[in-house]
Amino acid sequence: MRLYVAGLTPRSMRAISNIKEICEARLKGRYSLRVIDIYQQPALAKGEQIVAVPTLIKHLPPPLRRIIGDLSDRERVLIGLDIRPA
Amino acid sequence: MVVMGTVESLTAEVGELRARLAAAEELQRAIRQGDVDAVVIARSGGDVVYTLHGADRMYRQLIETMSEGALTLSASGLVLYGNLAVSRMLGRPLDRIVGTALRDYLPAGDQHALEHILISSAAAPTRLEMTLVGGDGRELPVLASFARLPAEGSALAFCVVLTDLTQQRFSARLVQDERLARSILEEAAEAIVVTDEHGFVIRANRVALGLSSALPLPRPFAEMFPLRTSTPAAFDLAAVLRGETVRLVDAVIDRDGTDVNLIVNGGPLRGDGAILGAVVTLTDITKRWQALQELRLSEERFRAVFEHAADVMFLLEVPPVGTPVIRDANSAASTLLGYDRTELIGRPVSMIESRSAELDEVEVRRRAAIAEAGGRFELTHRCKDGSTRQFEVSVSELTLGPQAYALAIERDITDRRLAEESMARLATAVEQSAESIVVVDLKGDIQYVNPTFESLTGYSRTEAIGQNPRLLKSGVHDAAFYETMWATLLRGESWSGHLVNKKKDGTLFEEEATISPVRDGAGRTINYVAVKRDVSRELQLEREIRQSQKIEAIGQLAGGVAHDFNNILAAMLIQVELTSRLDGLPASALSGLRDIGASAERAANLTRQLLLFSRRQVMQPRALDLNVVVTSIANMLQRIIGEETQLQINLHPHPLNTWADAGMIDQVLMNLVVNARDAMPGGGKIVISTGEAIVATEEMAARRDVEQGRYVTLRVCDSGVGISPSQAQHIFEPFYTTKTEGKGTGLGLATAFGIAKQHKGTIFFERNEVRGTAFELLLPANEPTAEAAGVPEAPKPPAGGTETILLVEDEAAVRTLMVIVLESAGYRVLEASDGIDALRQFEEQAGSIDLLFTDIVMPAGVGGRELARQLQERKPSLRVILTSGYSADSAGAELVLGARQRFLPKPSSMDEILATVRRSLDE
Repeated sequence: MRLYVAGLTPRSMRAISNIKEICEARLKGRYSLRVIDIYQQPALAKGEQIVAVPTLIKHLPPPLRRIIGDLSDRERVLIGLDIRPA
Repeated sequence: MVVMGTVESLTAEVGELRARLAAAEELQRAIRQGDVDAVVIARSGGDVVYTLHGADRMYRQLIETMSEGALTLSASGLVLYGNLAVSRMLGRPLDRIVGTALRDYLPAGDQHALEHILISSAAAPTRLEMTLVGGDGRELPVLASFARLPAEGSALAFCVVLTDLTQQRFSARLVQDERLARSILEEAAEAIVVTDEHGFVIRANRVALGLSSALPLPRPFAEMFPLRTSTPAAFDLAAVLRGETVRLVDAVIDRDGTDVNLIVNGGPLRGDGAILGAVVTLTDITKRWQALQELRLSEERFRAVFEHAADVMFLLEVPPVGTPVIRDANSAASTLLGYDRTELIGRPVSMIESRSAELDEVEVRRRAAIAEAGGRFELTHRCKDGSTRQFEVSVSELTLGPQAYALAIERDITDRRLAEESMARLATAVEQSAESIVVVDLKGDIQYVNPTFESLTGYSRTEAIGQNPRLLKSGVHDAAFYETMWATLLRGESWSGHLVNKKKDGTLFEEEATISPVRDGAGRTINYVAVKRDVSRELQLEREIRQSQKIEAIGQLAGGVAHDFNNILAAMLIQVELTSRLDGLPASALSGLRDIGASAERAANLTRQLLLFSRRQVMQPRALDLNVVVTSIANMLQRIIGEETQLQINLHPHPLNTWADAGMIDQVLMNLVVNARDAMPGGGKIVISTGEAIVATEEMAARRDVEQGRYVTLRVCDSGVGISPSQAQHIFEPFYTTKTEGKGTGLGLATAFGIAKQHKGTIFFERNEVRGTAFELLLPANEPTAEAAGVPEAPKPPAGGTETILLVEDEAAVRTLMVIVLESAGYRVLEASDGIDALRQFEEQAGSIDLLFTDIVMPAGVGGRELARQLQERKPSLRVILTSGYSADSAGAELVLGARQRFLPKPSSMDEILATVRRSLDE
């Protein structure tokens, strides 16, 4: 998974904090997470067609999913990550 | 198949669209719900991130609060925005900064660099260190980071962040300083520890940890370093923490069972005035301490050598010029010289020199030269009490720092010198001893002889050494004699005795010898020393003394009888003469009377000879000419020697004046001639010659035993058998004769010698066995006088007279005959038996008495000479004849006769008596 953030905004900070918590709770030992600041690496954001930040992108397992926001809605994140059926 | 493919493709397309729709719905939802910070819009020139309001505020907040300065520049360098830090850095409010050019705050060099960045097209951020000049003129070093903004058409061209380098540079220096300090601390050879204010070690360097057991810090200092000290004082860390500096030089710490000697220094560690702790250094001085310890031991050892040496030692400081100065002196120096050490140290050596003046340069250099050559010299020190001692000195140069020093080692040789002097005196005494000294070894080989031995024996030292003393053996002593001598010596005793030894030239000599064993310290005999005195001369003297004692005895004997004997002879002679004159005597009686007379004459002559040689004959010297004496006796001499012997007389052409008793000289001449005649039994020739001689030198005078001066000589030579050496030794001894018994008295030459000596002359002989013997008489020459020039009184025929004669004679027989003689010649005679009687008669008939005829020797009262004096005092015209056969008071002396006084020896013939009386009266 990749989490695209924009600097040190409170929302980005929260997003990092939330996803870190969900992963540790549900996918401990079975996930890979990279946090990418679009100010520092804008090229990566372009490749992933990021339009809003923060955005979490799940590549594996398919299908690819995008979740935008501070990831504070736990249900929606779990569904977005295909951990819980919709 | 186509349909199938189409369906599949349509299904995929639907799935994709659904996914895109979900994504769009998600985006829509997120934006609607404000759940987005930023949106990314793809554009042809690149993606642009648009931040939403909330996000920008955050950044603004962040920018405003950061300590770096942040500003934005337009492309031309105008400041469009600056945060608060920029306002602080430039020292002015932001509203005065925004709108101004950044270059306005830079020095010229930095302005140029700024322009370069502004016109550069490089997209990458550019850094530049530059200096900002603030509103108050303060300069601030900053690192400026320029980032070009890509937005075209915007006034904003650059974002700039300014980092204040002041703190950073200070920190760099701090880091550097700290590293240095740490490095120093770590690399220091000493152990260095830092404690906190409670005495806990909080830092310790490598060396310090090496001294301690490996326990973690912090630990109490005393626990970490349990120090021991040799003194009661311990390391007082508490004092250090109170602010004192503490030093301990004799600390010891145990490291793995080995003592480590330490010097510990502690000092407070201060920060902002307060004491934060202590810094303690511990320096390992074990090696140095051991070296010091060894040095001290070594120094103590040398000090002990210096102190306890029997020799005097001085450490002298030697200036380039001038007198060396005493820097140290050992106890021998103070003991021997009597000075306290403190009195010596620091004083010039001239103080203890015997010479009072300053030690001169020449002497100092002389000594230095000897010392340099490793030699020794001698000097005399003056002690404190004024006495002097001699020392033998060796000097070594020492290099102790820049100053030159010398060590003088001086051996007291005073006693040795005294011993040497004493030895030298002893050797000189032995060398110069008048006694001959011989040292032999145990084998009896000569090891030493002194010069007296050499001169006595004729053997030189080199000839004698190594020889056995039997070299001198004369053969006089038998084997038993030497055996006794050696037996005594081998018993270890001294032998003394009389030795007759033989010189190198063969002559014998006599010695009194004492031979003693010489012992060494252990009492063993190592040598024998013989001290011998040549007693030849002594024995000679002894013989001479004996001889003179013999002559003295004879003299006393002769003297004792002469007076009476002569009176007897006088009576006999006068009686014979008187009787002979009687008429009608038969020829045989007359002949008998003549024989009696001749015998009496011989007896008188013998008495006279005895008196003469014993020098007791009264001497009547007068000035006379020796030639005349010889001439007057010549005829008589011819008669004595007889026809068989020829007499030749060679007289000196000039008168030979002397002061002598003519009768005695006649006697000498007669004796010599008779002696010569007897030496020529078969006849020969006798030559009498007179002459002069001068004894010019002392040596000649000593040889002849006479005074120096002029002499007249009388020489009698014969052509006889001569005299053998053995005879020569005894020839002048009385009663020595070579003639057959009865032919000679043995008094002739002895008498001649006695007479010569009585005249202060001498007689000697030259022997020649081929040509006979020559005797020569020497008499002192006398200045000629009128009297001497005259001929001796010619014998006149005895004549009588009518004058009155006072005859004084104690011997009645003689007196009676004398009266007959004198009265028969016509004289009137008054008789007196002694002086008293004579004085009485003179009182009565003084006027008539013309002549006093008196014996000199009379038993009682007044003697003849005193009588004559008294009577002549009363009657100066009175004539006096003194007569004597022997006179004890005038024996051997010159008879001094006064005016109108004459002497007539007794006995005399009648003719002589009468002639003398007549001459006296006619005077």
